[in-house]
Amino acid sequence: MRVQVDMTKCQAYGLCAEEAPEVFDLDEWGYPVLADDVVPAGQEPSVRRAVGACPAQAIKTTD
Amino acid sequence: MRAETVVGPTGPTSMPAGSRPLRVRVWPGLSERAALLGPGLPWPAPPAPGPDLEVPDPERLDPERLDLEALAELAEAAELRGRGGAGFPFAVKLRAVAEQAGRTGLAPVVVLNGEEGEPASAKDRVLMTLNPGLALEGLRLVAAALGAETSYAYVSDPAARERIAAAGAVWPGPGALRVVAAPSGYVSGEETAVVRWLDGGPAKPTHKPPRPYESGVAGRPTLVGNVETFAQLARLVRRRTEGDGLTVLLTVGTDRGEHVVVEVPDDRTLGDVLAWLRVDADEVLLGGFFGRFVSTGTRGRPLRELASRAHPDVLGCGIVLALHDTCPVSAVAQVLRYLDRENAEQCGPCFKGIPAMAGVADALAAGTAGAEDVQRLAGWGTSLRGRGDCGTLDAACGVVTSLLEQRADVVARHLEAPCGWCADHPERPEATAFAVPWPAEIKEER
Ligand SMILES: Cc1cc2nc3c(=O)[nH]c(=O)nc-3n(C[C@H](O)[C@H](O)[C@H](O)COP(=O)(O)O)c2cc1C
Ligand code: SF4
Repeated sequence: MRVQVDMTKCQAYGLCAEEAPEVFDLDEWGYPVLADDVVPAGQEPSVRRAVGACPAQAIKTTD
Repeated sequence: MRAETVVGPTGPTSMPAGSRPLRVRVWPGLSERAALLGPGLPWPAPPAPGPDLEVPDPERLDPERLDLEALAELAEAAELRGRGGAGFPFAVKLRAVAEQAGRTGLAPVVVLNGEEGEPASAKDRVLMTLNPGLALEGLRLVAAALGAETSYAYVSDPAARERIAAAGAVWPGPGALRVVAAPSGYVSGEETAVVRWLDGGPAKPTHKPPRPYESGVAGRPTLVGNVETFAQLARLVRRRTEGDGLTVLLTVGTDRGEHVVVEVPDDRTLGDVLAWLRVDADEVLLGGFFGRFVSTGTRGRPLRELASRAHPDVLGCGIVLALHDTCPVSAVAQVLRYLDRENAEQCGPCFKGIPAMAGVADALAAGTAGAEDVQRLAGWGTSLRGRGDCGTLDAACGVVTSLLEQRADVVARHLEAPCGWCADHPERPEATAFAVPWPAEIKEER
């Protein structure tokens, strides 16, 4: 699974980092930083939760 | 088949009183007929290449039944790259759009990007003014090769748009040409902003993927190309003399308010151009607000190499900004303030990061920054790269990194105290001080 954040939509709610802290790191302004767009094995469920939790609907995944 | 629409306002074509002349110069010896900024070709060009054409395979390049592969091969052999800033190989883009069209069954769209949002650039507007037919000929060749049903010319400057619209009145097809009034602004020429505007939205960039070649105007595979890129392509297909390579259009400006648009063979070096124009500034910012301070070695490199990204100092959209007096620290602070105002305020890392970097650059110019501030600046210059959805943030990171790496000595001195120039200019000028005055009266010097 791959993940990307549409930065034009992201509003720095930070819920992604709460749902999937292993995948989403937040910068000093609260915007997510992805170490890698490939989701580490086993992290798929938390990334899916992050997708659902993001109020800005800024997170997209592809297979 | 005449189909031509002008959407939006058309503006004055007469120059305001007191407008300054803008010099235009073509490299001595460059065949007049071959120059983009020369008198140009008949427009619309005759259906088949004339007998004096030296093209590899004239039949395959007849615009009436143009072979896409022939056009791609020609662009590839000439190493034609985009002249809007990114330097992407044109043949790769052409084939990508064609493949996507084949996959989706959707007729592609072709867009001439004539926005020219960088204030220090004027070459696209000069080209559209002097030789609008050549740019349209390139657009038409691409539209024909791709089987596009609609072609757009996206131009914000009213005078240039009027020239394009006038030439477009005899658009011979394929399909329709729509000349569209673009909003002016730094980001409005970014390709996804172009697509969004043509689809009825604001001229602000969107997230990628998808890129326009995958899904552009009305979801169709879309080729967005710079005005000069199309004109270079038309010249390649229609060139009249054997052995002419590509040329490069440059906007050469100085911090003393001198500006000239030049056309130079691409085997000449940056140093040749500066010597020809008698510009002897020590400091040159190449690529404009997306730019880098050039290293001495860069001056000896042929422009072809600087256009190809084979070298770290790249031509970008062809802005050569010579700084006689301005301190590079101040220049970077000025550019960052400009990008802070002009970004689309969509991506957090961009609208938070740029002012943060500008703040440190300002403090550095004022002589009040410490080593830890410079360290933070360096960190942002690296960590913020690629974190916005268009290149604006990368432009800011690029000038910052260039300053810190290539002018480390100047930066170090500012940790002690501001330099003489910075001390004399506590109110730093706007980056638009580097802008080419426009509208301008074009003065061709032969
Ligand atoms: C912030 C930003 C502004 C841009 N502005 C322009 C512009 O004004 N004109 C232009 O031709 N390309 C501009 N570009 C580049 C376009 O996105 C695109 O790469 C180009 O039009 C493609 O044409 P080319 O391959 O022929 O250069 C800009 C890019 C960025 C990131
Ligand atoms: S990077 Fe900046 S200018 Fe580009 S889309 Fe994001 S906010 Fe807009």
